[in-house]
Amino acid sequence: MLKELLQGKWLGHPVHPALVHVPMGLLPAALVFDILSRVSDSSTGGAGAAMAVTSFYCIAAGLIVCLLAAPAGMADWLQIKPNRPAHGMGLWHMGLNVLGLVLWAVNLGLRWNRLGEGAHVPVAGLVLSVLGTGLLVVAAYLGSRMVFGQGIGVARFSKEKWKRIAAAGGARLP
Amino acid sequence: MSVRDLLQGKPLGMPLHVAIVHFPIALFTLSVVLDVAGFAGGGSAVVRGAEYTLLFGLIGAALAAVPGFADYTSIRRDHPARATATWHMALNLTSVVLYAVSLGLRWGRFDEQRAPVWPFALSVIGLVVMGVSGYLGGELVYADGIGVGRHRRRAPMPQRTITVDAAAADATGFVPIASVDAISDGKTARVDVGGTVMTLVRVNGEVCAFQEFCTHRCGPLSEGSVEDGQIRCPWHNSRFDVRSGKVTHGPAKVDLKVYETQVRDGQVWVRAGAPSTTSPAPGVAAREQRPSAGSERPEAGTDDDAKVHPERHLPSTSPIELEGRRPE
Repeated sequence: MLKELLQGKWLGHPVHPALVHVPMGLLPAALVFDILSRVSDSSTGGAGAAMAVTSFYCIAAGLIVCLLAAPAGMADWLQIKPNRPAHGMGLWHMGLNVLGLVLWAVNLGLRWNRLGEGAHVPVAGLVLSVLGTGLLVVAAYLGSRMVFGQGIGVARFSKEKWKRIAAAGGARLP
Repeated sequence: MSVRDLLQGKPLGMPLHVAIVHFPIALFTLSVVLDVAGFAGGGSAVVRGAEYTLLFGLIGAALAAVPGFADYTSIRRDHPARATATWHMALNLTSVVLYAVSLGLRWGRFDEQRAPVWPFALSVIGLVVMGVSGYLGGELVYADGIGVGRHRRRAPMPQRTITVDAAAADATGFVPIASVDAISDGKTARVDVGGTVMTLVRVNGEVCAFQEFCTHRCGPLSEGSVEDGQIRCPWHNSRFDVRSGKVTHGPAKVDLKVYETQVRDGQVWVRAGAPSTTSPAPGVAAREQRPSAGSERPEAGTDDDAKVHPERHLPSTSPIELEGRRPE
């Protein structure tokens, strides 16, 4: 069923955290390339222009993977019982990510037709990159607290393996 | 807080390695994508972009490797996931070498209209190797719980399991484990007595022993944190009273098996056989010392014992054998 597919049962562990590596790396990298492009030679063929192009592709690729990561994340979140702290954390995580997604999409739209020129990244683009990265970092931190603080997704698909180890160790089982 | 604690991201509440690793993963991937775009006629800017992303990816990889290694050194030598972690490290190093050579071969060639073939091939192989390694990283966290809840733990984690043969038991069935000083307050020990795996903690001077595996999803209690006389499982925060094994906070619903301990001349002894669910009442203690033939006196909570260890109620000569853990 779709939910199990999105939750990564076929992979043996959640898919959402694997997918988010891409935007989580590329979007802040876009910000770095934005900054570098503005301090570099921005004539056509110059380092600055190359940075701007790289930044563009970082955002585009990041956003495409975001669109895949989102439904997987939703499938994971639906698994969390409403009384758990992680449920509320997940809601914030989702909200901040959606807001960030909108900002990055606008950012990409701003640059869309300017790609061929040797221009550096426009100020508005840089500002959106800063805001978008900020939102992303906060949302990602929440996500990491959900995993490493609350154990969301941990041992979800490896229950049987651990039960075997526990039984062999004489433990009372769940 | 030690350097290792900092590198492991304890102040952050999550492993630093995991936070940083996004950058090399994403950048290396993008580098290959840009190479492909370069082949498709994207022009020199794209080719240069591929070089820059490779370079930043390598910097990111170097930054990620250091905390990653700090994480690696925390994994118990006999942990089931130790081999996976070693593979993860080896594959990562391999992919980094491949990327570094790829970059070295093409560095400075900024006017190319398309990526040079051999470096591109190396990048692609590096990507595949990194993909496998990344998968293993996911297994380490989500299947094996590595690093989960570790930031709550102040004391170092057990480096190894103290393994004792059940044959070392004395006449009363107790086996010597370690000196009391080895288990300081807040620290845990992981002990295997003839196959029965337990966690030992010391709370208010008293040494308590209970099953190692959480009754929620079998998380490692020896890697948990001790607070207010309770052990907290690092995975999903179930909490149990260290003396009675009773679950005090979910999501676990089943009490832990507890094992009797004794301190003799500064040495901790435990008894793996005939575990009790609560502090032993006088009648129960007497029964454990005189295993009698066939008499069934079920106490609360032993029904599931019977399911897991059906041989528990058979007559035998020593309490250890009640567990039926003798190698076949």
